[in-house]
Amino acid sequence: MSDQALASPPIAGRSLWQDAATRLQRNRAAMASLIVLGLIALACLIGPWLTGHAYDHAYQDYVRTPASFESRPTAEAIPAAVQRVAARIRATPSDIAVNGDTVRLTLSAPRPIDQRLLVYFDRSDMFGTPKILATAEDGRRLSLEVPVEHLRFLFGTDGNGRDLLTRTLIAGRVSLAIGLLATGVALVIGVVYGAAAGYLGGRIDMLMMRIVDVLYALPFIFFVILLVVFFGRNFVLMFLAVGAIEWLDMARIVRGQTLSIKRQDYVLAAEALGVPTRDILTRHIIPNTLGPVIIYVTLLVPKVILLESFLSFLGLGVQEPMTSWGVLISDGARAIEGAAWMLAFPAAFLVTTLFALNFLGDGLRDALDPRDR
Amino acid sequence: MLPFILRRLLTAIPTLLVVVTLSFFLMRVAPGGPFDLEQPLEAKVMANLRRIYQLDQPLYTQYLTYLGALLRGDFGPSFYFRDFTIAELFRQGLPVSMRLGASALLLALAIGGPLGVLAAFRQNQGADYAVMGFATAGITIPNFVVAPVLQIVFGLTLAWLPVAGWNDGAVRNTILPIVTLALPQIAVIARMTRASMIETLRANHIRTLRAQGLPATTIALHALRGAALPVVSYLGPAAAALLTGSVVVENIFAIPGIGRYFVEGALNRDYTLVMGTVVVVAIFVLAFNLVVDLIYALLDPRVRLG
Amino acid sequence: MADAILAVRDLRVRFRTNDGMVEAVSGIDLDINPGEFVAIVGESGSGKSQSVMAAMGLLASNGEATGSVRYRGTELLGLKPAALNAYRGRKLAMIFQEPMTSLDPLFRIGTQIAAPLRRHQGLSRQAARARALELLKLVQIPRPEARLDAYPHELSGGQRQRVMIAMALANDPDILIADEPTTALDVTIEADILNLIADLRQRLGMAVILISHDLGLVRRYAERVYVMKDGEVVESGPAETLFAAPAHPYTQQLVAAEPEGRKPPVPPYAPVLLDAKNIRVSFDLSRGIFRREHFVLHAVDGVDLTLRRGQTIGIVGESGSGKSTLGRALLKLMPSTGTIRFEDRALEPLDRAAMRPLRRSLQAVFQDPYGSLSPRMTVGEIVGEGLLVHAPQLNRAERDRRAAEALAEVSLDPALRNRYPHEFSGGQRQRIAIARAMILNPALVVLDEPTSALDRTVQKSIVALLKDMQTRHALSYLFISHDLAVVRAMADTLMVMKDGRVIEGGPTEAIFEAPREAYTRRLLAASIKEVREPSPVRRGLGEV
Repeated sequence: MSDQALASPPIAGRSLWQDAATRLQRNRAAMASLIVLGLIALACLIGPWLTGHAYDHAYQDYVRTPASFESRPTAEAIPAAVQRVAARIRATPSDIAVNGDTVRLTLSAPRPIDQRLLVYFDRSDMFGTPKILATAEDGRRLSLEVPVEHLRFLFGTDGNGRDLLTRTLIAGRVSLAIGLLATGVALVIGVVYGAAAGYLGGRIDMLMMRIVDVLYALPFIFFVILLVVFFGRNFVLMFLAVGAIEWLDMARIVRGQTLSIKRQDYVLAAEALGVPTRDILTRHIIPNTLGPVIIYVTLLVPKVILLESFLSFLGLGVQEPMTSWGVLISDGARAIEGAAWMLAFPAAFLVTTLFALNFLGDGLRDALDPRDR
Repeated sequence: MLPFILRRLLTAIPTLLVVVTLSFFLMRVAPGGPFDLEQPLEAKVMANLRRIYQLDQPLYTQYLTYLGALLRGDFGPSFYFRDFTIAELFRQGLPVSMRLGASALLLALAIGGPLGVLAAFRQNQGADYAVMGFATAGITIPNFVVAPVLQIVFGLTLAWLPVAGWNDGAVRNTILPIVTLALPQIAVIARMTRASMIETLRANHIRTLRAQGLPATTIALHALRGAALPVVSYLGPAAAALLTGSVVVENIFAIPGIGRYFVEGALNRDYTLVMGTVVVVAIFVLAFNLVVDLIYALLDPRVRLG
Repeated sequence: MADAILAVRDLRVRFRTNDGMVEAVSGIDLDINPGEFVAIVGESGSGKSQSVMAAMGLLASNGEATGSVRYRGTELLGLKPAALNAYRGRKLAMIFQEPMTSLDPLFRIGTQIAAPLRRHQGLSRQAARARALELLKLVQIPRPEARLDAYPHELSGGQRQRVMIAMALANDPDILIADEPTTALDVTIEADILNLIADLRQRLGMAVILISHDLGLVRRYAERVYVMKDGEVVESGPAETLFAAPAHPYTQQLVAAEPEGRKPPVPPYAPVLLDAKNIRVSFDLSRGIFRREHFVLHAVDGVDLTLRRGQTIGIVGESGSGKSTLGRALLKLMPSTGTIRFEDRALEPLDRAAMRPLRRSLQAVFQDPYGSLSPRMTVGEIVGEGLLVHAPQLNRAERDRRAAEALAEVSLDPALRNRYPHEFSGGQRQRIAIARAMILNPALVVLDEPTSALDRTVQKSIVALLKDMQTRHALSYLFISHDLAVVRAMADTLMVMKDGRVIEGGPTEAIFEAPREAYTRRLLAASIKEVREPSPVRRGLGEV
């Protein structure tokens, strides 16, 4: 052969991963899901800084405010709010005139008004520091100009007057983090355990799988509750633990894959070449088990998120003031009669995320295992 | 077949023993005890209680005592529901949970199976997408979202059904909980049936039937029997889970089943209640796995019971 | 031909795939006369199966057929399934390549044979069962009464194909289509099944369409032949003339595709490379936790073997004879008992690590070119992997250069070394597997059915390549195959295996000329089909 032929630049090949990526890009539902997931993740990540509310700040004047695009307080709500503040100052308001961002009003009382009490305007979530325009009748009449502080609660507020949008986004951080964290733990344990059982085979395999069977027979929720009892309600620890439980299916899948790949001729060929066991596992077996593992991971993430919300629903999950979608949904379900938005928004986020993950999982399955199409 | 069943029952004993042992000791290592109330009890009262419930004895003695009692079918007294034994609690709650679970399972099979078959025959057509969309929704929307929505719609807005309550098992009271339990199962069964039906319809032996000019109904029957196999394996664990009650559904609809006992028992360190629930659930799981294997052998002549 | 019962005109079959429309059959004409034995020959991908699938309305859901297929004047293409069912299974019957999966595993044989009888002839359950029994007798299944109530998994592959034939014949069809009916079966069973089909055709007076890649088979049985390539019929005509004087270059290539040449024996003083005594491989198939059902399968049962430098020993036998297991045991890829000496070193005490340096000299090529290459590695990585183990001092660039050289040596373009296995054809993949073995300069290569999954023309080139490599590098081969035609071209010494034992051995030509054992004679009769000489079997049938 000529050296020229050897020197010619090699033609790039298309790996199975690249093929799968192409197929995935053609799947509209999966790509849309990917975009939706990206947007939700982005919103949860940076959104809480942009909403203008702290997730744990309770606006006492805005308890259970319905979701709306309108800024609060509405013009109609101001007189009532002024009444409330005035009552605390022990004065009667009159001539209330809403003028853009300010309210002019006159306070009158039978005795001179203690001006220090005007701080109640400040303490209210709706008004700023009042400016005294005029004092009359020895301080029994005050003309005030009070700036109105406008706030927006796109998703409304919860039973403590906290902004639901901010809380939903913060909760999303927690739920997504938990999903990824627990899945990661399950992935590592499951892949190592399953690959080892499958590759070693024989009695070791039998014993390892017997252990898995026994763990399957144990009621899952029992474990979780025990873990909560052990670790307290530290959610990181807890979900490391949940991941440590969820690895059972992963181990079975990887073991099954390993068993079938072990019988492939390319593993035999590698053994005939004298390739060490470690390299056979890393070069030939594990890369080929990854397809089903990736598919399972996309289905495990929603499962874990669902589990977290289930635990939170039972009151075993994340603790106040930190929150998660499950906690919010649980609150919402309790308040559903008067405040449907409290259920609707967190549930919409959770369900959208789960939907997207499921569609993505289906898309990945079709892309990685194309024999069906 | 009988020897097979006997052998399986024999191998179930060690599994159960492991489950009981593991949960017994795990439960006991957990901090806290059954009598830790918000106001601490007087030391003397506490000591008395501990003696009555034999908690003052060494752990292994308690374990052996518990095992011995369990062998006689005695689950012991409840620590939390003071006036009840565990057996009494189960005698009241288990029939309730089983009735709801069995109804939900039958409903799920009756709806999910045909939906899956329909989707498989209309693969990549409108009906298929509709069924799969519904199935994905059923799998992704958690039951604690479904349940309040059902309560609002059918209980409050339309006022067709009671919002919650058991009412001695009146049919009207069971409908919403059964539907809540069944929805995710319908979804899973429809998806599984569709997938395995599509797989079977592509099999060579179905091609043989088509080559013989047999009508679509015959082909469907053959495909259905083949497609039923994976669904049957799924139904074992699913049935065990459904029949032993759902903590969410029983809480939301205020149903006196045994689903809540796990959580209540564990939170209150009601050792005997938790242990009893674990044993009952494990027995259900093992029993249904056995039933599934028997049905499987009946459906598939290649499977030898052994 | 006016009296053709099946007339195909301008048949085109297309499949919608992710890469757009792919045409499998591009406008073919076929005519089948009553009672005629017609063969459609072609290699994989020629469209031969898809053309009859289209006629039977059995295309996969992404396939579509245009043109015309007329049965006695009735257009079959485009008929609704219900209307088509008046012909399928009644006038046109079909059997398939995969007897193991073509019967429903969940139903009894009797029920499955009865289904078309009850459907098309309206027989009662009783009458259908009686007729099913008759049919089982007709296809010469042993113990037909018992078989009626058996399930498919209780039957061997050959018996299942007989059941398929019985089902196909249930309604006295005019045409029996047999799509590669024996490809998945052992060679000795192949002849039985085809003789049965030929015999039934005579007795029942139906036409047979045999679809096959095997020219020897076609030559024996068919009266008329269509040769297909890339979706087109390139040549057709009476079998006699077509084989005697093939006109189209492709047909000529096919006819000449029998592997040629004989391997001269090595001199008796050639040094012994591998010496194995009393090799046994057993599998413990005991069941249950307490191993109550004790059962041990002796896959290889006391085999002796001596391989000299430059020698090729052919090990032949049918599936389950233990020939592949023996090959793996000799390479210590499978636990065995007995003694193995390689170049004066005893192999049996060596563990995995101690074996490693020796693996360089002991290489293997496996049957399945699809399964023997790691799907997620590039071809260059696959070929160079052995160097990672045995020449770790080489850097990446040097390994890459050596892999390119090895690819060039097996006549593959080295520029393709960054591609992945799935981008190559079966024959190319087998070349890659050979390059992977040869890059280490081994002394002995175990070739486990290296040509069995390949088309005949590709087989021929692989055999030529292997022989070329042998002379160039003074290699010794252990050539494992069920295909005696290939073995004859490759091996100078022959061992015939059956049930784990060697029943006959010696110089290849001597055994071919005078086989001692009846089993060897059957193997020979089944697999050596002289393509270029008239076949006595077919002439006998032609007298009908």
